[in-house]
Amino acid sequence: MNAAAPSQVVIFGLGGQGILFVTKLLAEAAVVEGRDVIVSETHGMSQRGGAVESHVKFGGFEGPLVRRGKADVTVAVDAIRAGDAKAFLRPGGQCFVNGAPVDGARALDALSIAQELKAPRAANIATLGFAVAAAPEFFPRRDAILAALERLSPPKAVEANRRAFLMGAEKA
Amino acid sequence: MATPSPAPVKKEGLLGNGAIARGLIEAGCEVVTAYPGTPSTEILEEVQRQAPALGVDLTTEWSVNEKVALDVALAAAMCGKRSAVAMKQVGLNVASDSLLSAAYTGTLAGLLVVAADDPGPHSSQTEQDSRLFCLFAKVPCLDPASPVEAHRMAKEGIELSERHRIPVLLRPTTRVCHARQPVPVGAIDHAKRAARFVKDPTRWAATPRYRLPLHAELNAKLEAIRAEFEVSPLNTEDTRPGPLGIITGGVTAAAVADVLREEGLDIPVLRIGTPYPLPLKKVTAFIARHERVLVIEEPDAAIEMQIPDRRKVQGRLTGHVPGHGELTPEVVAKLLGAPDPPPLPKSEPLPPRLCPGCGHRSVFYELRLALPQAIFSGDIGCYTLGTNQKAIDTCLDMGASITMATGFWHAHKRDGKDVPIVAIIGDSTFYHSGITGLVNAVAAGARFILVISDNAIVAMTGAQPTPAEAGISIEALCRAAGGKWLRVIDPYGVDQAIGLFKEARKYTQAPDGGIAVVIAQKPCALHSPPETKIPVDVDAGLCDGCDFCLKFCECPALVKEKSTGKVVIDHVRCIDCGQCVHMCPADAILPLKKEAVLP
Repeated sequence: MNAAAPSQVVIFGLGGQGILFVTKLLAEAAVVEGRDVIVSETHGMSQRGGAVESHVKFGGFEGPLVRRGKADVTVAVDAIRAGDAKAFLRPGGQCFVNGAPVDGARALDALSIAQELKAPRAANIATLGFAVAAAPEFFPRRDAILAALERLSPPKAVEANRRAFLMGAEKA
Repeated sequence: MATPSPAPVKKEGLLGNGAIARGLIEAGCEVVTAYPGTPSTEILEEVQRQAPALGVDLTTEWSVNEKVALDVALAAAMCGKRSAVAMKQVGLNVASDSLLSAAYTGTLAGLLVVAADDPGPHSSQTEQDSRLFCLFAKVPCLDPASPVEAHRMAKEGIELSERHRIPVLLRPTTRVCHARQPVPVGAIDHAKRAARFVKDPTRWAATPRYRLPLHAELNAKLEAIRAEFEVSPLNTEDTRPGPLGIITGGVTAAAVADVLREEGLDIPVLRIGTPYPLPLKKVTAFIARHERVLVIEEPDAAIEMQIPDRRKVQGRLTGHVPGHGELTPEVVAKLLGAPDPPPLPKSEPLPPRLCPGCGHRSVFYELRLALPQAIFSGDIGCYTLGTNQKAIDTCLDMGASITMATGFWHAHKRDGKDVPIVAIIGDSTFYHSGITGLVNAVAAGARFILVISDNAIVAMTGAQPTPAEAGISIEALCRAAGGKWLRVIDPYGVDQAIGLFKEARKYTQAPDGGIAVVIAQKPCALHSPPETKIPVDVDAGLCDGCDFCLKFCECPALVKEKSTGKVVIDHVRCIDCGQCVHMCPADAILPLKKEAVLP
């Protein structure tokens, strides 16, 4: 599959884990590449620690939601959402989880990376780096994501976020 | 001869609400008002963010409630300034008194009312359909399927409104408001439209005698608009005949398009972007080309209901489309006969919770300990989550905590019963709809405790300002409304607050007592975390696994360790507020530095 083929990604987590930031990043990276993208974000009450998910559809889609069983890639930034993440995968799709290893998904201890960087909230970015490196054909190019990361991160967090992304990618 | 290539269209990645904001700016709106509410909040925020960056100077106002916001924008439009007002769908209930009357008076410059629906519902108390409100109020409605369409319809809505001198309603849903997409942005209308109010009492101050001709005029406007909608590019159709056709609109049309392509289905679709007044000729002709027509729309049956001959039509009214809940791609796929998707795992629900360090949490803890038998009359905001701590028993609508407390008091008083009643309301909700309820309660001689949990901001929707920023004091408002017994507390002082709530209860029982007002002031921990840091840890030797803290404090940073049955602190989520130190019967949660802890 080439980089321009349509793809569908869903990111799962809990309110407060930076799920919105990850999806904003992917949308911005697609705009940088000049690709069509439509994203669905979770705002409101669920941002208070409830279940949060963001759907990202690259190329040629009209609706913002990914249908269960149709995602090429799913990412669970919190292992508690791994079951939901797996349910959204199409046959042959790939699931990535932050936390202990689970069946049917590739796991990364993103919290350790974040703690090593003294940026406990960067686990979302490390998990994204892991997924992008392992399944690059379903995401915007890495340089476009890094460019978006530099532009969208708060100035103080740019360096930690960049390193979290690259350290996650190295583990892929 | 070579034709010059067209200039590339500039695209910006925008949230649906940002796309609406951009449309309003491009249309030359000069006054934009709103009251925050999910999923509509970012519309005004995005106007405030984008306009300065585009070199546009316009007036924005976070109004005190939705009715106020509509009145303000309508008056500006009556003077010739293009204007808009944004709210969530239940906000339209509050603004409905204005909307129905404004349909009769009409406007001079364009006026767009944006009411965002929330099928699901994800963040609302109802799944109401603002398109049906348009039928009721006789106001034309535009229904976008995507941020790109929302941007276009915001601009065209202003033009339509100005052309026919009628307020126009734009009805995005959550999945449009909170979708993000590259949007082709356009030129900005910089025309200056002078403010000039032309007196016309038979219109702007119409008494019933003049309302009758205005109603006739409104009906004529709607028929003229219906004729425009018959040929509007906002409605698109596949004119091939076939056994089955689909009529759809809004974001559901986008889901239908994706599912048809994914399933390889070839079914003609009529996509309605203008659900009211419905272009009946177009719809009737579409139905005539098919043996059966399925209407797929949400959250109610606004298109289906307007179809005069429904013999071939299936939809919500016939039970073919679910009567409640969001029309997700999974639901649409099932309607079109696709195989079932993989099941979701059976998992523990993940309910939203108050943030670590939230002042509301302390208030609920204190109320539950001080007045365990009380009826807790709640309201709309983050603090509805007090249900988790069993310190919220009701949640109806904005301001109902105070008015319902009055009703609870009347009911029990009739039986000679004295039960403790507590109304709990946030600061922004108090400004929105609490003040009238308090005046009413004092005038009725009601007796209950009114707790205003004041975090100095509209927290639920992302920190919009309240009238407190302009120096309008809740304390002064309560005193002026007749609140004689009033105390202001810091809810972090747990023991003091418990004592004070007991004292407040006594005042409601005293011979000369009445309503006891407690204003609990603590800035929102999400936006202004406490400056004094009180890091804590659990002494595993002292923790006996009683779970009291998990039930009564209920902080997301308190986690039960499955292997030991004891509680540990999640230091990533903990913000070192130190409140849980007071909420452990075994004194096992200990501050690392003792001196900073409030009693």
